[in-house]
Amino acid sequence: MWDPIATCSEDRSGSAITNLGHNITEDFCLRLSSGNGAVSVSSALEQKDSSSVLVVALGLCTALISLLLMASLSTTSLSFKAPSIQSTTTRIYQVTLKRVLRKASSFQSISFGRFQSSKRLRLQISCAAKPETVQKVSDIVKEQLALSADTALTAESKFSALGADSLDTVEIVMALEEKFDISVEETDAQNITTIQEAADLIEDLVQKKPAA
Amino acid sequence: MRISVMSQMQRSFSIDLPSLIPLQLPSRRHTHLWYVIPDEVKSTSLLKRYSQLLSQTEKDGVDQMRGDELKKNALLARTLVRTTVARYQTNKEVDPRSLMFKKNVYGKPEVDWQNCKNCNHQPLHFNISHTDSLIACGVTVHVPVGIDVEDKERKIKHDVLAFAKRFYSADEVNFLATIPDPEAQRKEFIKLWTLKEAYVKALGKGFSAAPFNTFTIQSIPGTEEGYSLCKTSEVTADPLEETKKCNGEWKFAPLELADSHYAAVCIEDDQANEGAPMRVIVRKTIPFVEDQLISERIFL
Repeated sequence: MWDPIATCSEDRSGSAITNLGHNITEDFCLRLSSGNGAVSVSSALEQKDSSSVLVVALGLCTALISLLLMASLSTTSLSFKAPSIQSTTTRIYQVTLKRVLRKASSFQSISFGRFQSSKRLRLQISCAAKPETVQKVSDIVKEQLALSADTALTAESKFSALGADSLDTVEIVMALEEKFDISVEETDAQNITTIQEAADLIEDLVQKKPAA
Repeated sequence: MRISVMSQMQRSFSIDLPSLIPLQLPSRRHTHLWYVIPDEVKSTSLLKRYSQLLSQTEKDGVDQMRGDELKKNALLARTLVRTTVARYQTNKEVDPRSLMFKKNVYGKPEVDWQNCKNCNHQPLHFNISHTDSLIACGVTVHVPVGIDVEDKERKIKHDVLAFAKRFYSADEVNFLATIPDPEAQRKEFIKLWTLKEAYVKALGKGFSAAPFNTFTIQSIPGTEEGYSLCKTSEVTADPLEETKKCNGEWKFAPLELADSHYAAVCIEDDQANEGAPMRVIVRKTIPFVEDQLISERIFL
């Protein structure tokens, strides 16, 4: 489950700064969504106590982000593990995110969040799905829920807010499977709640398919 | 049998709501099923009063819904839950606004008795389900309950058998495949959906705890409305190896509501009730306005 704790949105002045203080005992994730353009982000992390291992891990992460983003990546997710850290003590981190360069079309948001899973620190970077995928998902959702063609749907639109019940969600998943020629696990299917989540899952599965 | 306080509502212009008529808790093995038809609730002043009952979180939830109809239905659903649960507080009058709700660790909504000032802790369980045109709430004591309602005329956009093959168990697919008429097949598909959904909701552990293709709900031979649950073991390559465990731990009641909907109620059959039939009392309601007893049915 995605639990955003800070969101940094587009800022044309050239930099966007977000400060957050947070207890980290669970996995941490940085999610970036962008248009087709490249966005480079550098981040500096400070911590109030002296655990250098974590700093190294996060520094590595952000360096990688910058590199990958400058190349306008097409993969949707990348994950790597930091060495395991005693996570019994809580630490407060101050995170400063500074957007250094902005190339092409807008990037939509950066958010820092938590995945509630294992206690082992793991950083996962994922880029949101392409706008075309989001559009195709929106079209299928509109058709399944019989929404009028001019209903404004965004990536954040929640299925339940549009009046979808569980049977609708399952039908939407089936339609997506057919459209994209993928196979969705039932547990994944039931966890999709927004158009963005559906699109992200689709791109993830499409990418994992063996080459035809 | 109608109980009406309509005249009191019509005269009253104040913010205060009339008292709720209290209810006796269902006894063991009884499920009380309440439903509201949104089209029958037209008064904007009544709806405004309903919105005063909701918590801020619930109001935010209603606001999130896209479109007036969906907003109204979300409002009615929360109102139905709050007023119904409040009415079962037999020792004193409980303001439906004071009820607190929480979710269990899997996300199933339940009453938060501890944080409700003025409530007696009761072994009351509830579950709601809604469609565009009907909102239902089931109430039991001591045992978990799950309900699901679906519009009888609901069209399935995919081929019914393809859909079943994808999501239902092999036995259920075989059963549906024996029905020659597509319309009858669609109806049975929907009935099965409500039964399976009711079970998962009664279980209360989220969908991943009981994926639809890991259990079969089938009619009990010799009965018209008896259904039992059979769990399929790990799906093996050889279908003959699939063993089934059919137990009586869960009881099902398939119903039709308002001539327009299929509904299913599922309760856990705890030890105290072994063998006793399940009774469902169905009532239509407009909160604060009227109740109407619809039926009382027994399911073996």
